[in-house]
Amino acid sequence: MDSRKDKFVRINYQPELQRTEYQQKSFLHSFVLEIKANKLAIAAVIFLMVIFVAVLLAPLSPYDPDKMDVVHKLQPPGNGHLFGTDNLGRDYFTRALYGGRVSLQVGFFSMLVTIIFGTVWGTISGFAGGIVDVIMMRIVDIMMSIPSFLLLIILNAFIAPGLFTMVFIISIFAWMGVARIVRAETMSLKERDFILASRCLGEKKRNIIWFHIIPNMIPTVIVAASISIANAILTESSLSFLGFGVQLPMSSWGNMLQGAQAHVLDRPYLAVFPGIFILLTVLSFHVLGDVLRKTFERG
Amino acid sequence: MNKLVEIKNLEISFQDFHGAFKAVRDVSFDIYEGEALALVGESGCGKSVTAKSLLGLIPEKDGSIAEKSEILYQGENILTYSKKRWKEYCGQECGMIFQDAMAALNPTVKIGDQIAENLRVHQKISRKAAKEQAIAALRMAGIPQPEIRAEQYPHEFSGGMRQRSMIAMAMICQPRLLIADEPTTALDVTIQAQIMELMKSLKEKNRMSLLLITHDLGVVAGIADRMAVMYAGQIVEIGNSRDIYYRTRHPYTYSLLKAVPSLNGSHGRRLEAIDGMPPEAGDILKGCPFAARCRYCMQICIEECPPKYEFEDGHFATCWLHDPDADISDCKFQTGGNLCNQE
Amino acid sequence: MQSGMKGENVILEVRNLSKFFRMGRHSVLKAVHDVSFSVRKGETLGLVGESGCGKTTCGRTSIGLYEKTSGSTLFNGKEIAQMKGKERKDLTKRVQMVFQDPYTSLDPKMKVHRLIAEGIRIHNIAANRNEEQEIVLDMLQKVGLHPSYAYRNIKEFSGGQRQRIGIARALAVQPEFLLCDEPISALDVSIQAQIMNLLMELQEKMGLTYLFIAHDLAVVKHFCDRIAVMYLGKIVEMGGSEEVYGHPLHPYTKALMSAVPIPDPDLEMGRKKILLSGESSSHMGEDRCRFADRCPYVSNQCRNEGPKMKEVAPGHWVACHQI
Repeated sequence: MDSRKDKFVRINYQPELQRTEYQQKSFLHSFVLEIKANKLAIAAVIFLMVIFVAVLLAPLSPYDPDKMDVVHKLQPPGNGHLFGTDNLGRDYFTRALYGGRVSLQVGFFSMLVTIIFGTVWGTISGFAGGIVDVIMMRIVDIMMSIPSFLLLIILNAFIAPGLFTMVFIISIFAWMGVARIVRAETMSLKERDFILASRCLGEKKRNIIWFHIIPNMIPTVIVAASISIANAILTESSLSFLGFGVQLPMSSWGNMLQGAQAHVLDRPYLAVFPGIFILLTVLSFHVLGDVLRKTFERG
Repeated sequence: MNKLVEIKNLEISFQDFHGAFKAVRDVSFDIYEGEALALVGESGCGKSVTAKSLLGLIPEKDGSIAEKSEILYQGENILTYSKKRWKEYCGQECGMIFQDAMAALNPTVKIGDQIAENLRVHQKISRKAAKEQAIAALRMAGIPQPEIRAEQYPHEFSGGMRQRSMIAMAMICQPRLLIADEPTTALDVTIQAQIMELMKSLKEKNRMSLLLITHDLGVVAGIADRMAVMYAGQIVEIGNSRDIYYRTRHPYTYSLLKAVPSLNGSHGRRLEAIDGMPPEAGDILKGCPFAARCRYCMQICIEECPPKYEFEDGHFATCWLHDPDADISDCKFQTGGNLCNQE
Repeated sequence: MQSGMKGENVILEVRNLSKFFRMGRHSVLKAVHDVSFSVRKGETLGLVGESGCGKTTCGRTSIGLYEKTSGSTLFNGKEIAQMKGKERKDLTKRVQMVFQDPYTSLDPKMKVHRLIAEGIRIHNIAANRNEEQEIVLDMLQKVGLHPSYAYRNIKEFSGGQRQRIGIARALAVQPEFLLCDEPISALDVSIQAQIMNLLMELQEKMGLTYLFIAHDLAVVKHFCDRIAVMYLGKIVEMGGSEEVYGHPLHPYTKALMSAVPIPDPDLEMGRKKILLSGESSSHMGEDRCRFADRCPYVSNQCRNEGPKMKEVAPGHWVACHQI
């Protein structure tokens, strides 16, 4: 009985403070979990990674993308040319890789410009409120109601075409969407108690935006960014297809499609390859955006 | 008194992102006919989940009730009910009121139609007759001008009025059991007093049983015949309200009663707070779940689950302090009792 | 000057304060209408009322967080609205606030030490990083949290712990005056007592003055030296805590007291409650007692004329025609 009595001794029981089970998972970790749970997302990530690496390694290709070889023109895929050759005998695979460089670069840089400008515009508008907000948002409305594609074509005719002019003119007509999302987010964030607490501590407005509003907006902005890459790639391809984008002999997926037009009946693969690249890249970025959004919602 | 509902070894677990956890652990209690039983506890202690299981509201996707659990309604296990029998049982035998009436009412349907709809699901009755009964129910719930109010939408009602129409809706089929899940938590005190008064009189008039889920010990004192105190998914003490308030047997109940300031208490005195935090859903518990916050914690408390001890008639507490070997000289609450026969 | 107190020891003096919100083009919400009170140094004034009675707005307007519509708010004898620049910044160091919801009042992206250090940095209280660190750890200890928590994310903490962090943030700048806006009503019962004890302990240690906003009368009675009862934007009764609870005079105060459930079955089942009919409706009513619609003792005078504050006993003020 003594051993039983021993158990009834008062103790000062202080269990472990940490709750290991509920340790906060890092963003990357939950992102990976979210991707693993979604087959489409796995495919999208793998595709983007493959494209990215292939495009980076494009110079390793034995062919020069611009070198014409009329003797071997319009060869079908295989026989040393993975995707065959085009109407001037250039290796189609190599051109597709170099074209991907242009598309991805334009997409990435347009996204950067769009996001930075849209975020700044949206935060200022949302935080300031009142007349400033009204004016800034009307400017956004006006920009949005301009038939942008037409204007893009006109603009492109005046400015010397090139990679960075493309980035510039695509961004001009893409930042409004981001600005609107960011403004809505700012307006909801600035009513939160922690902003009031910061004001109560005497924090400057600039610091409130910088330390509290922007960090809390990052999830929204990242999701917007992935969509905006996709849109920029699509716009670039459309422009190039119409002949207003990157100028020959530089290749891009858009102007490859244009070149394929003449042979769409006898050499359909010339249209299929760049078309599939555009489709899958854009789709993958959209899937990625969706996964990012889900991760942020859970986390 | 006859038993209306018997709950035996109820165990409910949930599956979430982090894994499975038990929200309710081996809970057994009875609800007698015509009584008001209060289920008291802090948020996350499993009181709402227990109540929801009585209405089959545990989502099948991520919640599951253990095989050994039984919920007997008038001797029949409701967990094995067919779909048809469920439909008869829900609403007709058992009604429920929620904390957030605005979320529980359909914002696009007129109040009167919503209540009538509830009746028409269960009884073969004409649209017109159902509407009349709905108006009668609204009048019974103390809503002035029920004829006009029945034609209005939920957003035109104030918080108290919405809760009253929820009561009217739950009561329209005259259920034998009314489950009220924190019915007054979202309301102001003056409105809370009105609603509690209404529930009390309805309970007496219709001789129904009431299962009240709340965290407010003051509300419980005003209405409950019996009460059960829950902590971390277990019932730690159950019995007549008076026995529990005046002859508290569990240190958690005791601390809870001491931790609430009272209108007749004095100003400026320190409250006897309970240190630490309630365990979270995923925590693995060995021994008594309250051990980590209990000031009388003993070695055995962290090793083994305490058995049930019985005191006055039907007053049980699960705490090792009632063991004859325990040193109880410094305990401020009532101790001593008989060990119940363990199954 | 209804509150009728002058002298050195008044820290916050609010006179005829009004705060109206414009609702659409034509209607105006009178959230706070002609309210006067004062808070003495070292005491706790409780502001009680039901949801929507304007107590939060009143609290925030009186420390200058919202711009007032009319009236005056004097902090240590100086009009808050006229403070500019450095003086205004100094005010934010002396007046701090604790919020109701510990989940929305802390920036979820910040780590605990940065959150607490925010005020220290703004007001240049610490000479260098190390000193700042020291103050933060000291604050954590003061509010009963382990210093190792400083480097964790806010998301890891429960409601009660977050409220402690919120208190630490407010106290890090060593304020004199703390506006506690329902600091415990979002917490669990067993945690409420912890936070109340903490606030009382800190008041003793640091000589703080509290303006304590709550809807729970039992909590206010326990916590406050004096209380002011608000109904639809007006203070209807004000006085010492024991006085008001012992002899409530305004019919609304009486009803409110009787509606508070007491955790004691014999007392609770036995007592007769004053049940008010209806619910508090709108702030729009003009020139009449706002409680008239629900008051059991209503007379014609109440419907035509708003009552003025009267001092019925030393320091005990009531606004009712029937007294």
